[in-house]
Amino acid sequence: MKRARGFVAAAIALAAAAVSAPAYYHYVHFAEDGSRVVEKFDLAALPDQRVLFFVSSQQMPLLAVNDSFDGVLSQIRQALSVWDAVPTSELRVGFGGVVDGALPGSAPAGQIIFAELPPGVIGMGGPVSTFDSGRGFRSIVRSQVVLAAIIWSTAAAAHQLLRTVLLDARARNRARFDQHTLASSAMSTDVTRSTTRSQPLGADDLAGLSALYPTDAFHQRTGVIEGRVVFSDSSPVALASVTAIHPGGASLPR
Amino acid sequence: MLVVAAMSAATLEQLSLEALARESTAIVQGRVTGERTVQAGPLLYTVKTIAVDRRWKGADETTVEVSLPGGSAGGQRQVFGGAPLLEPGRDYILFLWTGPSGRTQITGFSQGVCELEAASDGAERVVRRPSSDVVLAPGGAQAAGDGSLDLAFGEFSSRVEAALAGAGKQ
Repeated sequence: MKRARGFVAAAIALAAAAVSAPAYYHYVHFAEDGSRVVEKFDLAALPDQRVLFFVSSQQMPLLAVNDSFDGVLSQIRQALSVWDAVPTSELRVGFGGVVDGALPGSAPAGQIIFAELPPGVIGMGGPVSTFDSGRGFRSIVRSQVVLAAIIWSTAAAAHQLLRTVLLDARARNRARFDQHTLASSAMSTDVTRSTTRSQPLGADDLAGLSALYPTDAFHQRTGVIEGRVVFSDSSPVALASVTAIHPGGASLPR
Repeated sequence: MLVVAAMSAATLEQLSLEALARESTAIVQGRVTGERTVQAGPLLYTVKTIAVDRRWKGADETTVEVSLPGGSAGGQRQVFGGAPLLEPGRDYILFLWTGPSGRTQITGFSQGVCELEAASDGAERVVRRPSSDVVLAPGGAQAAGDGSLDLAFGEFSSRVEAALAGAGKQ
């Protein structure tokens, strides 16, 4: 507990630094021919195009004083309702409940797990995907966030959990340190992402989700720039930062 | 065949070399000789068998099994970005931690994995690769640096032994 408590201050400082890292990454693979293959939920495999998120109770978290498991679940529910309402995304999300064992049903789902992690590790996350969906993308069958059994929480952390499992790698990093701010109401990812409590999702949240699961309206109003950054020998540049320049000379927000 | 794009995902607490030594339940030098996948509840682990050549801390055993998060089973693959990868045949120094469950994992993930390399003069060096994980300093901001380490083997060993001796006196 003592070690985890020290992270509250750390998270505040780090979150401020995260403002300058607005880019989004989806879970991406590159085939040998260089083509891009994303990992995402297969909408056709989801009842009502809705992915349900379950919290595993196989190992209960050790929470901060004055925090409760019900309180954490409430924040997750509220966050899900916000992500469920993105108008330009076909993907719907919902709270599945607390499960003590295997996830119910066979539909793709999200899973939040508290587990034994070694010293020096706060959390990790990632998708479970099939090797080949046959549809031009890899189907995520389960998205998992594994948190150290000691957790601190805030309302913003619930949104970060969802960014983690719905979207990208870099957002996962933020999720991990933001979970340690749960005890600090003074700090939230709302601050780091220029969002507010009344409007908890930023433009990149909306675009990131909508680019994967676009509605017709999103296609009609939005353009997407896509490509690979390579060295002169065609080998890939990892995690390159790319800025689009408007014909007028101003850089476009990423 | 698909190639996985490099991703960083784990968020870590910064541990100094001395803290790594103290927090670990075993510190060994060895090579990967085998692997298997096991399932523990909803999680897959790739269990690597390490043939131990040298030991600074822990039980006197010739092999140790180390669980790395993620793996492949039943036509599915579970990936945790930032989880350590250990390649067969390479000589590692590993800081290990066995928890109450009995599972042995790498302390501090990328922080607890060092490699042995020969310098131009033939001397052995202990090297830790740079990491893009988010690493938090013990009581402050994001940790400075990229987590890399490059020490002469003798200096590494002396610091580890000193840390263990200091911990024993406490």
